[in-house]
Amino acid sequence: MIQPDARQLPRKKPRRSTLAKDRYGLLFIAPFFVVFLIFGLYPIISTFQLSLQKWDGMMPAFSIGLKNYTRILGDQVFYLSLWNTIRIWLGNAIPQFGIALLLVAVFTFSKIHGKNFYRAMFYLPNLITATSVGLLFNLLLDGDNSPINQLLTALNISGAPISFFQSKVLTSGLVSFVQWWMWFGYTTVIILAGTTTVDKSMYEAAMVDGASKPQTFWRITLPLIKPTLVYLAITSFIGGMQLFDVPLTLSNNLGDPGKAVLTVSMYLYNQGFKNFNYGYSATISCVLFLLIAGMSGFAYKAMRSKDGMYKL
Amino acid sequence: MKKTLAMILVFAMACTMFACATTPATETTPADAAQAAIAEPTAEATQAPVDPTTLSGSITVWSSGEELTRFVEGFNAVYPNIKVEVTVVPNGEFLTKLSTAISGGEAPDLFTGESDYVKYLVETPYWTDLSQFGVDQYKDNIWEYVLKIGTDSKGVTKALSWQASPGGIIYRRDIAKAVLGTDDPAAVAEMLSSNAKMMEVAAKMSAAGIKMFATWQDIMNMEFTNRAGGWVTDGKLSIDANLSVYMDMAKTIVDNGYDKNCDPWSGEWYAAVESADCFSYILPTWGYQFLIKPSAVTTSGQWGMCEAPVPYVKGGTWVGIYDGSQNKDLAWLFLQYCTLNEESVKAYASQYSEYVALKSVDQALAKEAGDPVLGGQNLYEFYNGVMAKIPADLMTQYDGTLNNAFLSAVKSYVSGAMTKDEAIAQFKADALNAYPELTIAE
Amino acid sequence: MKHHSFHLSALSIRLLLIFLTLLCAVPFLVVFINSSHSSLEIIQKFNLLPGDSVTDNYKTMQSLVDIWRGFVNSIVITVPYTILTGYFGAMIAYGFAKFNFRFKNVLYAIVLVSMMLPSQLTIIGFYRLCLNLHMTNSYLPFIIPGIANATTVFFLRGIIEQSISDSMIEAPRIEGCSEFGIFNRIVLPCIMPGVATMCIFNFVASWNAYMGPLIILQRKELYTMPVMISMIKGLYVTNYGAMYLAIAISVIPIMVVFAFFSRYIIDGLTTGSEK
Repeated sequence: MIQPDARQLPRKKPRRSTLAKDRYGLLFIAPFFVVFLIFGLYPIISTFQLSLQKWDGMMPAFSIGLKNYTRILGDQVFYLSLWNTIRIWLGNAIPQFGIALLLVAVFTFSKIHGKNFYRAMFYLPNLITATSVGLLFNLLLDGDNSPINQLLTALNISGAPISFFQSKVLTSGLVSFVQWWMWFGYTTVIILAGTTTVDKSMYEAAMVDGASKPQTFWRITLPLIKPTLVYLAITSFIGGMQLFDVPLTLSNNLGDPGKAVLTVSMYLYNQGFKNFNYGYSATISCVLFLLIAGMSGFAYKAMRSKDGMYKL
Repeated sequence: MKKTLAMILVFAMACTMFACATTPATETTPADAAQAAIAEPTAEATQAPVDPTTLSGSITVWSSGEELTRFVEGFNAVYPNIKVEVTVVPNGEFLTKLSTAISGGEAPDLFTGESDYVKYLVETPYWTDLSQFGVDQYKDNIWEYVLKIGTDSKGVTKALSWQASPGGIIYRRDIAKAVLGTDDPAAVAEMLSSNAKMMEVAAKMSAAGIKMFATWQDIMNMEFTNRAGGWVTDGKLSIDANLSVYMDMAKTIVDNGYDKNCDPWSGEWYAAVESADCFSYILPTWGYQFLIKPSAVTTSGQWGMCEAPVPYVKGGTWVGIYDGSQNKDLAWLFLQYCTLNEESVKAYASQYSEYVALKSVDQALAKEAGDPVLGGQNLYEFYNGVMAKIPADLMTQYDGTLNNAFLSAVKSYVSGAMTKDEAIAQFKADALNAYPELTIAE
Repeated sequence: MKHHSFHLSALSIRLLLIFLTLLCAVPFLVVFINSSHSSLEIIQKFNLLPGDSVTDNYKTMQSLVDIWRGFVNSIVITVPYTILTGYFGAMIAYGFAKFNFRFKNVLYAIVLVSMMLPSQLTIIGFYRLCLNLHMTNSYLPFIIPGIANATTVFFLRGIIEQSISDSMIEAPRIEGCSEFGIFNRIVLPCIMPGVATMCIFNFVASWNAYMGPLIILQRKELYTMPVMISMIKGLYVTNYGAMYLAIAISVIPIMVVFAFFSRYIIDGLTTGSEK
């Protein structure tokens, strides 16, 4: 950067340059919209269009107006799948945030040797595909002679060997657990990345003022990384509502036993690709989308409008 | 930092260019040469003598299993200049990929259809009528049900298969001798000739510490043929009375511990082949070919086949030619090679112990030596006997979903989660949810 | 105020960390160990020690698919994709974070909303799009969307808001630095830990992407690793040994990349935002 001559310090920094500067923002964000318009928009619009049609994937589609939407309003299986999805998400998200916050607190405030090693270890489960994970846990748990059951029998746990996949509660809990297993490390790493933006001097000031570690964590660190936490909450919700791979591979594609782990995405997938009701499948997609958008929008506004010491 | 950034961007661009470079515009070469060589592509009993090496071009095949890949080498020995590219698409995503491609107008020259959805594919216009290639001359030599499934409701034959999958009971001879006193297939079949008798034998086995079945779910293969009609006739869903009987049998098996309590295709199901306490599998030909035969190491020679209470067929894969293909004639050559050519089919059958769709091949192989895993029993001889008794085919386009929904309902019932009536009601609700246009027959 | 602060004893912390580490690592060990056993061994018992079937599994795997080709294909897609998500994600996030223009909130809403539609059906429309653009045998449909990665933008906007004060930008502006210069030389280096974190995540997501490559790509030689791993599952015979070996081979590069990018996150812990 060339240091301009002090005499040449421009005095003309009026509104015009403010406007021009702000227009740069449009330039910066332009790439997203260009690419989105080419690759992202068409598939979304065609799905919306499909939701108003009846199509079996092979023969030509034809329009049926809003019939699919009236159908979904009375669809008990849809409501069941929605409840399953929410329940599985909560069973995963609550422990996930709990552990992640705990770990971040521990890493930030205690002297731990090998922080990086632990962080790498915890991130590992996020590296393999959900399908492979499903396969793995199937192998570990399915059947009376599965490794886990052998372990339980050896330890003389009552009720062993357990038929995990015949119990609604256990299968649902297992899906939540696998999701938790895959994502808690990621959540921890993200929060850690967020905390790198916090000025260390803040902590020192707080300590000098007599704040304890937990207080510092709750009152200073967390509010300062609010945008990161908002990001995590919203993406977790979106991901949770769209959950598909794990329950698919852990159950028999139908969400059994008794549709306990049939998520909305699984239901729409079955309706489309197995029952050849692509139109109705698109409708389920759109309704799920509206639910996600509505809830996220609401949550986003709520979380950002709470003014802490940080104007967002 | 600037330098690294610049290098990274250059690398990214290089990669993108490399990515673009790997996209030659592949067009399947129109089979002009082939069409010139084949004088008349109509249903003539005698084919114009054509030198196979003059036929050239390339065809694409999508298959949900690997069997078709096994024919390529032999095919190329006869037609060295026709390139066959077989892509194995995992069965779970097969229809997704296929329907997406068809809706875009670009599909492979040949594609398969699994038994779960073959009836659906047959009714669409996407498999071409095979009579234009002279398929009629072969029809007598194909097992009837195989042909029927590949024929649509208007009588047009659109798909063929290289395999037939009749079924019986595959049992352990040593256990049969120990508990039943004999291992002779006819005698054992007599003892298992009805559901009630099977339960009696199951009790006897249980007393001797043997599990009669690997899993009750296998028996469903048989029960689906034990019906008066398919799931849906004239848009009406009907549940055959025999299925209700089956549900009771399944519950009895589970309650009394007559099976190994595993799921089909699970690790334990495979492992039970070699176990000391599993008596039988109720599976068709592919059960022997893919499960028993490869897994039977210490139990080789101890297996046998006998007839089940109801002779049945289950499963199978069909192949057809895409109606919009530019290479139909070449595709037909490959199709013919895999499913109608006696030599190639016989070579395949003997190599892989596959029971095939051509009667003459099965009859010829019945005269050859038996299978060591089966203690010398000849599986072709056995299955030929079963085929003679197969009733009409009962497959419908709704089978994929309805079979699974029914299995689900039975599972709920045997595990005690639902009563029988609740389970049946659940099945009906699921069926209507999947296919709202159906009604329930009374 | 709480006098009795919540003290976690060092021991219980250590136990927790070790327990979580085992929980994370054991399934991976199972994958690696199983990849050296034959299918029958995997089914019949739980193996704790490596077996001797690595070469057999490798041969089976290679006979069914060309795994190294898939490996190279995956790299060719994933590396450019990751770089694009990181660089453009930061740029777009910066535009939303530090500038105020008309329709900003509406445009940002579009960014967020683009993540919310379930992806199962959009593949059909996406395929038709690629067909019309003649890109069904190209990797471009998998690389270029990296420019418009909403998750990255969402995350980095927050990071920028947390760590880059307005003064950090005003000062260079007054000195005559160009907007792009400010972005490239000040903002980007400052948020590197965040960018690196997102790059890891996007690398993994792109590497493991399955449905897209399966449906869009028409030629076998172009298939990526997840597609090939799935193909090893024949219709009836699942060759578990070969499949685990393929999974193991697929996981190793991701672990390498993670180890590499970890360094940038570590550096960020100390650098902070002081300038």
